[in-house]
Amino acid sequence: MFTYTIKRLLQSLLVVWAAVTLMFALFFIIPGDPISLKSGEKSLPPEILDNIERKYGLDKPTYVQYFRFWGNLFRGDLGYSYKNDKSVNTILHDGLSTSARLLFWGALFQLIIALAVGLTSAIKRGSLGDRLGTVFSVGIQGIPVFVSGLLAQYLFGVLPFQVGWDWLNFFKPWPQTWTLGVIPTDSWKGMILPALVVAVVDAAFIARMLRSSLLEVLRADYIRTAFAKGLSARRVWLHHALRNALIPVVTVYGTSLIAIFGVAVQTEKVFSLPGMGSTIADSALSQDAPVVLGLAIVVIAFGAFVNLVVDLSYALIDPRIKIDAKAVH
Amino acid sequence: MKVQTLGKSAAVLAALALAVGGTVVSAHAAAPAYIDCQNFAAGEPDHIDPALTSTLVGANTATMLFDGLTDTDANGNLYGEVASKWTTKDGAKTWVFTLKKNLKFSNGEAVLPSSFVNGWKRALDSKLASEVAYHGDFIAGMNAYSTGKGAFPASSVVADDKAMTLTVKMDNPTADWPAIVSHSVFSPIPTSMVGATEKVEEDGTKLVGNGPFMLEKAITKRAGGEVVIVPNPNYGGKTPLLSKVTFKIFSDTNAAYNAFASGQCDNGPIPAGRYTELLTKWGTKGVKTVLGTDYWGFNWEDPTVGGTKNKLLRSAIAKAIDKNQISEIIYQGVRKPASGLLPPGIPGYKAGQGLTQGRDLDGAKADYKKWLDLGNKTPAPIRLSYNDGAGWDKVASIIVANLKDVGIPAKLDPFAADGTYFSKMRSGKGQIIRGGWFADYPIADNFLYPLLHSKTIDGDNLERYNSKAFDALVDSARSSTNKSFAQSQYRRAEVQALRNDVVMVPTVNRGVAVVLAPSTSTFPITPLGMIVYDQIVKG
Repeated sequence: MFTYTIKRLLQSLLVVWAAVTLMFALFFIIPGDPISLKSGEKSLPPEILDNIERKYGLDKPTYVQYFRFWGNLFRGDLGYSYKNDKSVNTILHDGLSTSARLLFWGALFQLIIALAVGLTSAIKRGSLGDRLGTVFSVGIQGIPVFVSGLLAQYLFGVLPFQVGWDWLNFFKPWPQTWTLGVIPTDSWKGMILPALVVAVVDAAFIARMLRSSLLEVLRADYIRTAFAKGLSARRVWLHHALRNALIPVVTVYGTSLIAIFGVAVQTEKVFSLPGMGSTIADSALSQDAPVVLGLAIVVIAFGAFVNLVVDLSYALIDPRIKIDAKAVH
Repeated sequence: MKVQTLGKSAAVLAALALAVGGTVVSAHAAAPAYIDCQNFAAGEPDHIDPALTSTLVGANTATMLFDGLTDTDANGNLYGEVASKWTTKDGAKTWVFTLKKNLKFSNGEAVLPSSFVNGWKRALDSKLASEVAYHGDFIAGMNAYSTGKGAFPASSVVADDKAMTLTVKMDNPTADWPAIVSHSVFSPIPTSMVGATEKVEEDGTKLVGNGPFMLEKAITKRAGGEVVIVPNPNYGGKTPLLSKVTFKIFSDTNAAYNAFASGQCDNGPIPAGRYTELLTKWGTKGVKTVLGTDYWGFNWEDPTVGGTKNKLLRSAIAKAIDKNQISEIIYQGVRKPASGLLPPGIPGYKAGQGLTQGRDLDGAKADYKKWLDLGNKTPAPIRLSYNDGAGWDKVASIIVANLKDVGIPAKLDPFAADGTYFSKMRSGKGQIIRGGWFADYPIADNFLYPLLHSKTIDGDNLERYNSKAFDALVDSARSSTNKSFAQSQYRRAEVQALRNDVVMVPTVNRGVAVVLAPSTSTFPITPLGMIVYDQIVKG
């Protein structure tokens, strides 16, 4: 497993390099001009444009900029934003904690919702709960985050405040202080809505996946045998059925954790959270290459890490699965 | 026992404090805090450093932190902020500002004429690469400094700290200099900020100004972050009525409005298309027409719509455009129909300078017929060019429909919102070109010269308009020290471009609209779109 892990890590580095190089190239290929975007409707005198280009090193040939980027990266310097001269390292430092907390709570809520809905639907197959679960799963997946986020703000923020039910007002500022890194100690309500919006999109898909996986496992002989041996339904469900049904679900959950990043980008924007997601979106629109590239490195590395963890977790969930270093090839 | 003794001592001290300065203490304690969710509703400002900011929202915060020599009040009047008076000699080529005494920066340092020299040296330095450094080009020798080709022109900006005067020598006669110098790039700085880089604004303790507020918390994050300002204890003017202003940064206007409507803030922005609904609900105290104009211009070099031979076609198009429809449907009355390029509030403004004030369909049809009668054929659909993604497609669609009523074929010509639209228009790629202008300072020249003078072709003169008559009128106004003569020349120049040559069609004057919580009783906005936070009254 050690050799496999090392090989996968090396592969991940290659992926990061290739992706960043591709994105770097794209910034030069696609039409657009970040400096003109800065100046908006008013034209800047050519001498002022020259000053700005010199400041960011944009007056140098592309290949010089490319090697300078990697040189700075190896020294731990991701450069400065074209938009507001802020260090990309600072932007990452500021945004990463918020995004990580949002992802943590989103993933946790996602798991809870998916397990609750998936299990209920499978156990009470054909019941009202199952049907409602199916409707929820299909319905929620079709709603874009920009809509569900704003709807949540209205239903659990604007409306309660205006009718005087402030206890139901969950649209509050994002918490500022945290204990143990992830537990909000002020304005905990401000965390709930964004995390739920992140959670529900893929929770619906995972719930459906869990339901169908469970139903398939429940038809297996060993489940019938377990019941015939007189084991309690709870024990059969949790120890025999659920564990086996989890293999495909874990795969989906791992993929979902990467996809959730995309959902978080939109959620952070809709809720204006100080995370990396909203920064990526804003920076991409203003062609702020240093910020996008810096954040992309983190996102790609995160994706590679999650994939690795998912692969390794198979062996933990199902001892029959062995990790083989040759499988890398 | 000890506790009791301390308690008694505290009570005695409190009684003494109340007896000595009770009124002051209680007045400060009563000053409310204010949470603003509208200023940065569309994202983090570019900068809040007055030397660097090039956006209205950034400049609004900067002007709360820094007082310049002059400023414009909520009624549009120019007044001395740090300057007590100003005089000119040798025909507006040299200006002498006399500064008020005993003014201080928030760190206690005195505001002196040399503070302005230091500020200008920093702001206009080519190394700082400020986007707004070109405003210094009015000063003799400053262009060389701001472009890195020369040293700071010390002989053009002379401070006399004893006499409290600042003497500025201009490149050319500049009658409007007292208004131009109100721009935030001309702010003073304390000695601690001499040579400071652009990073200074990231640390709230280092961006030290002389305005009514000082920075308590700088920008630390993008969306979701906040900027906090508190009253400057050393401010020489009237103390703000608020104990603190918190600017929350949003990246989505809808979310910013929802934050306001759910009780998080004292004001909020109005999402597109909801002006009527929300202004009816929250009131119109936060609505003001400001010094900006939207227009559609004609490419002067285009064979179909440009030049003197196609004046009748341009005239037909100008008369066909329904400004009221654009104002009502797109802006729900917040942006009012424009009757000229200069907006109301600019000194020398006169209504009705444009070809039309509303729509003249019959006139449009008659002019178009005359143009065809001259031997012209029905043109291929005329392109209405605009930068996509900012809602201009809706305005362009209305105009296309307006022109169809006259029989003039037209079509939308969107350009990607990637910053290249204006450079393409500057190089003559458009036919009918979407443009807009917001005043940097409240003077007519700030509209007419950059937008229409032949020297600004390749710059903001997107139409590539080249008229000797127009240039002569603007040049004579610029060099005149007689205010009424200059204003009359600017008015004649506006008529020349809009009525005689019909080079552009002003559609609406810009406006700002903010929703306010009922607790906000006074919310002054200057014609430059700046909210005067130190005069906001809450409660």
